[in-house]
Amino acid sequence: MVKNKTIKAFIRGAICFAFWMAVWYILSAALGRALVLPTPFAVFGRLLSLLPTADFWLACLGSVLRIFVGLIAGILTGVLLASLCAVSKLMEAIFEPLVTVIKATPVASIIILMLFIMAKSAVPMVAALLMVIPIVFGNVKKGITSVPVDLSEVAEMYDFGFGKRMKYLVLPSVLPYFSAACRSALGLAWKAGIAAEVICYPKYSIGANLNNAKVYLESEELYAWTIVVIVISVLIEKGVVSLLDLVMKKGGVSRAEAL
Amino acid sequence: MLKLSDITKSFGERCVLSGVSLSLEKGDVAVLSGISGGGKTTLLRIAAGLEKADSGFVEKDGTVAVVFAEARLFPSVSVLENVTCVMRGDKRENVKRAEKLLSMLGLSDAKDLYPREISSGMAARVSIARALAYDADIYLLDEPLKSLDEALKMQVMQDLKEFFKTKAVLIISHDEAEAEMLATVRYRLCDSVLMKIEKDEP
Repeated sequence: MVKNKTIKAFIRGAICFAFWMAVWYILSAALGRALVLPTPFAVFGRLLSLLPTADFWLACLGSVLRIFVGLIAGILTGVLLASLCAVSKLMEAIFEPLVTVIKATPVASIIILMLFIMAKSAVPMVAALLMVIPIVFGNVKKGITSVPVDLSEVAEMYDFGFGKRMKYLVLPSVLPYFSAACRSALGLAWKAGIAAEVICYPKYSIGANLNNAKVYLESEELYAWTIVVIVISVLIEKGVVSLLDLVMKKGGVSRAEAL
Repeated sequence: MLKLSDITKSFGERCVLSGVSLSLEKGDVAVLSGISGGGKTTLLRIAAGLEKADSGFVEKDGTVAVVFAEARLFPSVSVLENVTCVMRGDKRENVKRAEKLLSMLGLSDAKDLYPREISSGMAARVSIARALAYDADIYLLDEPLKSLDEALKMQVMQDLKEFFKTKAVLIISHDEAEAEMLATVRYRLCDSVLMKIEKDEP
């Protein structure tokens, strides 16, 4: 039964892939300009030629590490700021405007500003971090303030300490919001990080390779690297979502319940 | 153990408690009745310290456990953990005691279930087990047995009667049998005033 479902899902996926490849091929043939839209064969051929090179893997690893560090730092900062602001009106008055400013500032402005004040290899990290903070901040703060009042009264009556309050009240309330924030932040951090790499051109990065492909008018390579960006993004998202589901399950909250 | 002195409480123009005084010592089980919306739950919340009175004093000598009108269980943990979470000391001992309490309330088979997997009646019984597990000096209960069937109610009342012998207890209840069985003293809240019901009064 399960095997049948897997086979059906695989066939459905294959048909879907073939359909879009056909659309791509027809558009490319109709346009007749390989510089603007090369054929899928040319792009995947270029991608296959990139795969065995060390530079390809170093670029992927460099980008993933750089953006992941920014993402983790952004999540930690967002959680910290949200916790402070949820428990103190003064902290809220101090930090909420800062988060609003970060949220409203275009990512390109952030990247260019950062280029003036730090090493270019650090800019993608900071760009990812700044994209993540407002999302995590808003969601986690909402989660903390959504702790049910009736359960807070129970905790108060039975004299719960910090640990028990966290376990029975705060975490079950925050986890669904935190999980949703991480899923949104992930894609945004990845896109902002790659955009920063394109502008800052750090060594061993996908962004620098995208930029090179653009400068040398190598459309196949530009598309090939774009596919790499998409594939890594999907893989990271799947990995993180599985991890978050596991954490939520441990915390006694199912995703269905959370959403 | 629990002393309420001259408690007054209004919601807007509406006065629900007017000069209410009540004193409970160890072994006292007071059953409080009165019309719905008459201020009984407000009085219980003031006694628990969850609500402020407009005037008057609350004095408590000892720990307090409350059984709310709603079960108020923690949804992220099992029935058993909902009971053990209020206990202190040795974990294994706590689990044993919690299991005994759950068994007393007819919930042995439900201990590993989550609150979303049990009925509201069962949830109400879990909240009683949780309060008993806390082993407080003062118990405040808001219609705790209303969801129990008659047979189970009789059995639970027997156990509660024994348990309450060393506690000061205030129970909100409209059930005559419950009052007969548990009360050492009965009160009625009528037009925001607390009145003691004498034994031969209906």
